[in-house]
Amino acid sequence: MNLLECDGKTLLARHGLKIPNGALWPRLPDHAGQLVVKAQIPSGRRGALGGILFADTPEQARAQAENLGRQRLGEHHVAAVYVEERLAIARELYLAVALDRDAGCQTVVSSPDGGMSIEEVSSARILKMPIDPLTGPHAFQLAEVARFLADGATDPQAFVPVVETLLRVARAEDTELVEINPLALLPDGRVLAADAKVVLDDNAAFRRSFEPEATLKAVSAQSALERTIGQAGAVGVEVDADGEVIAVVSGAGLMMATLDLLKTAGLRVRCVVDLGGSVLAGGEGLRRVFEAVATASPKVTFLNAFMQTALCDEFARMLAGAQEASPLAGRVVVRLKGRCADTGREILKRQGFEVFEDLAPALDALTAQTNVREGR
Amino acid sequence: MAILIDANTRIVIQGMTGVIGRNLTQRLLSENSPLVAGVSPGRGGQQVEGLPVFDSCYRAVRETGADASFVSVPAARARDAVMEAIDAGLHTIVVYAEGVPVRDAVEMRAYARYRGARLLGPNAAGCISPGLANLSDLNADWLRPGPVGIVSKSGTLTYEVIDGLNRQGLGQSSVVCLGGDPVVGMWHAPVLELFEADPQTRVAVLVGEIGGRSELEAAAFIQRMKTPVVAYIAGRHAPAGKRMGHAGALMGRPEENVPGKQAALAEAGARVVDSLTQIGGAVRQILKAAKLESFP
Repeated sequence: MNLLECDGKTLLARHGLKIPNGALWPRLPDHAGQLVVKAQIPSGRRGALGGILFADTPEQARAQAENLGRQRLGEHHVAAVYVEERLAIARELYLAVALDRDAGCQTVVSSPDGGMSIEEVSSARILKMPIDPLTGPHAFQLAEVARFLADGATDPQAFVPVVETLLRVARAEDTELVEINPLALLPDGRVLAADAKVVLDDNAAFRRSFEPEATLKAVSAQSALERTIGQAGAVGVEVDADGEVIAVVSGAGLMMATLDLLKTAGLRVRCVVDLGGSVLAGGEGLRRVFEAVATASPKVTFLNAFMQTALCDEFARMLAGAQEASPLAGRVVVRLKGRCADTGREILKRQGFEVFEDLAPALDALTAQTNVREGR
Repeated sequence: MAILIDANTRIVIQGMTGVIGRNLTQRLLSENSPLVAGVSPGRGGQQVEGLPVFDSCYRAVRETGADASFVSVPAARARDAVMEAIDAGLHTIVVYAEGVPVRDAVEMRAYARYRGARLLGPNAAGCISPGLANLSDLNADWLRPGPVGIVSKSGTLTYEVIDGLNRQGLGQSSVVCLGGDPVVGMWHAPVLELFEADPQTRVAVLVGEIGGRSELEAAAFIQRMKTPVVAYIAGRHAPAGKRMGHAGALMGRPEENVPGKQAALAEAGARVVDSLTQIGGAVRQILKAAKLESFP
């Protein structure tokens, strides 16, 4: 889950990092000086899109916030507006703790040149410090990152607790990314998180107490179809809103390969669905996935299942039940192979589905009777 | 010969008393896989299908000489189960659960490397050496011993590859599924290294997908391999920015997408096929050209 800035800052503040004095509009921060009015959208291009405004007075901030709250910026609806004190910043730095999937560890990424996209900073000005998950961070690692941030211009000691706290956030909150850009060094020596980009690991939600209120209220990045399928316990990926085929598949790898096969055959794919183990294990999941697919009323539904763990005949009975509860209007092409698949295919033939054992003839049937895009 | 597991492997199932554990126990026994015990804390002394259940991996190792584990516990408990398995000396470990927190995956991977254990997963179907041992959720009835080694991230895609090989009358030396999560224990390359050293494996099949660098690291190793490799990468048409069912299958840097991985593998000398359905034929051709066709 990508947190909106305001939720990310709340999380950082909870662990003791200093953040600017701020409030979610219609509240305003208790601050006498200039204010910054910031649209809360999950985009790194917020400034370029006109989502950050400066106000000299609370009245001006109020007007700007009201206006910003009604806007769309790029592809994003502005979920909330966050107003905070405008900082007098001496230096802008960059600090992040990012999960490196390939190295298999959290890595501290730092640069004395903050305030711009990290991709634009030259590699000589970026320090990446991988943290061994078995030992945790060493004091000498924190000191090296602090020295790099200080860049010979200020006292490195000011940064040590900031780096330490960010690593603690990453561990305690199960983050995939905590990025502070800019990390603001003020003339009085204080170090503040002027922005916050936090990505939480959804798999760890069960052991996290933090509730990102603004983020949860915001419109999700998922489409309505993807959301409904997700609520049923499966994974839906919308491919082409105008597509005519929805493919429901018995696993993630096979789902990707099925999409490749359908697209290569020239078919237009609306959505692909990975049923996953929990849906295949029985219960209400499959019927709910079926409901979601039926509501989208695809011209063609392609069920592709090759199962060796779950039983194909039980799966077929579940499908037949789901079809009776919420019938699919269009063609249904089924490829069913695996344990007890002969019985399964018989059950599904009786539903009026076009049933195949192997992938190749099922694909032939799909392409023979479905409009293949011209020129493919 | 085979890799990772064989008839001498002694397998435990952690979580044997759960529904998935019990089903797997029945299946592995019916396949004559060398399953020796179960581990379920608090249920020591019970039996499942006549096999002893122990409270800990330590006891299972001490009493049965177990050396491999299929970890069939819920995602939230996978980390502790794996750490205990490694600490107790089990050295081939499959983590089946989907949805394991990535921090836990990071820790189990690091500990496995530190202790020299071979970890498949999280979110892995496991490994099987047909006719010898099964440490996976794959159905052994579908496989038979033969000259082809398979290493894949996905389990379901592996069924499809085996099906394609079956059509060509080709069996498998070992089949290894690494798991679909962004952080997993073993990658493709160390498995290829085992296939390279295995005299039974005449051709290796690499099945990969978008995201991550495992297939790119494998390409660097394939350059030095004598065993021919057939490679397929799934996800060419995956929409940008979406996780394709596998948490790890997300478009990243350009070289981590299908064309990037295909190019690296082809340049390294692998025979790259565009479609899942072409794998069996490609393997058959390579064996034919090398006059290895008569091999089992």
